[in-house]
Amino acid sequence: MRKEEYLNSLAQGLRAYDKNYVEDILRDYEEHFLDAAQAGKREEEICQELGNPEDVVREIREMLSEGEKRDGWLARPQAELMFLGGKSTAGEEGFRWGAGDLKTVRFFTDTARVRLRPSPDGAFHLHLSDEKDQAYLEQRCTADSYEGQLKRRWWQIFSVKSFFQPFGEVLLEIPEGVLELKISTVTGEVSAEELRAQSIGISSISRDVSAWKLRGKDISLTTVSGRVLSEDVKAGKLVLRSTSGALRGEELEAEELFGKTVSGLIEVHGIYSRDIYLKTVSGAIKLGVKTHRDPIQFRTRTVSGRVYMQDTARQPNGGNFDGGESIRAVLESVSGDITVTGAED
Amino acid sequence: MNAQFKKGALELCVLSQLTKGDKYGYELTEVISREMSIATGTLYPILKRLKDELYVETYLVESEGGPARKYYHLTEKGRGYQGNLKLEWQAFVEIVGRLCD
Repeated sequence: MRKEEYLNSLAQGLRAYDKNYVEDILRDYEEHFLDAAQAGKREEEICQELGNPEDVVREIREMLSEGEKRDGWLARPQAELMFLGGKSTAGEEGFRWGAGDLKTVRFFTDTARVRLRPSPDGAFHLHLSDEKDQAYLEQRCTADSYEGQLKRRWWQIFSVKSFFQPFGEVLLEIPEGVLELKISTVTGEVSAEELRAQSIGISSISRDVSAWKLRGKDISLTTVSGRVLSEDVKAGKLVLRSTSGALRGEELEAEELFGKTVSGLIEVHGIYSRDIYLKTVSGAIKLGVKTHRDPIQFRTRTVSGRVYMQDTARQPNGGNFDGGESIRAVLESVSGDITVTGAED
Repeated sequence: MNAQFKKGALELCVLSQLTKGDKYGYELTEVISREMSIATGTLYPILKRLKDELYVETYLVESEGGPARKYYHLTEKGRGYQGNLKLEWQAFVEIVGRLCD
């Protein structure tokens, strides 16, 4: 075996682990090769002395799994799941889907923060920031789906100590090819970045939902008392919804954009959409459209607020749409101002 | 030599070698593999862990004709740890020796 091959097999064996750690340790082996070569050894000889790369990888893995008992972050993927004929639970053996086999991912938690990001190696991973949380993790998988829950049962909530100790963070690494992604939390905030799926639904009850670089046919980001923060989202239908929080969007592109909150502000800029519906009761609406040569028909309605159209080419219109090619924008606020800033063609 | 014995003792050997002075990775693997047959590749994760636990620290030194070398230096904490480990080891060896006789 030669140096290149040796280092590659180490990198392969460690690809699911913390990137910084792996890069760092590979550098050590590289340096070892250089020093040994300087001492007059051949690459084959050096490889032999270092030992079978599989053994070295095993050694490193063992060390990392020892380490994670002490550190906050788990370097080892937690949930490669064991498959038990239709019903499965987390296990030591792990359950792996083939590339593109995993179609549905659903996850629910009451108090954990959830972070979603693309998988670095094409496999689904779940990491927990606090090892103790593992006792509360329930997982089920089938040949094409993963369903996980991290929550306390009523008898577990009953203990005062656990009640005051919310879960840590859950990191889900989503492989390509997932069609449906559904994440919900109660008091945990959720953030998602660089994901693609046919349908993405993210919801929280009391915390913020934030999204960056999402692509999908149907994307829905909802919360009750948190904010919805979105940037660079492209969807067929995009729904942003909160009850008392603000909705903020930047660079959103959707056939249909639907935003609704009761007492929050709606502020969306750089919008490219043919059908815009934004509604709030007591908040203001600020819309910055990015268009399109097509005319936009606005239907704006406010009872005690005022309407500002900063793009003189476009006029508010209280009536019905006349159909046709124009882009439709319905903006309604009961007591807030409505401001529209114009096209930046 | 029994693999399990080696595994447990390797950390102590690495720390003890560093009490005599700073060394770079390849140098350490050479010193140890001269006495003990081991897969030297397994030393690097040990060094990394010792570093993470602040028993050793590292610094880079330019080497002639090659890239910079990473040197390992035993910290005060590491020195204390090595001392304790060594005492434990000696006690252990003594007990095993008594029981084997």
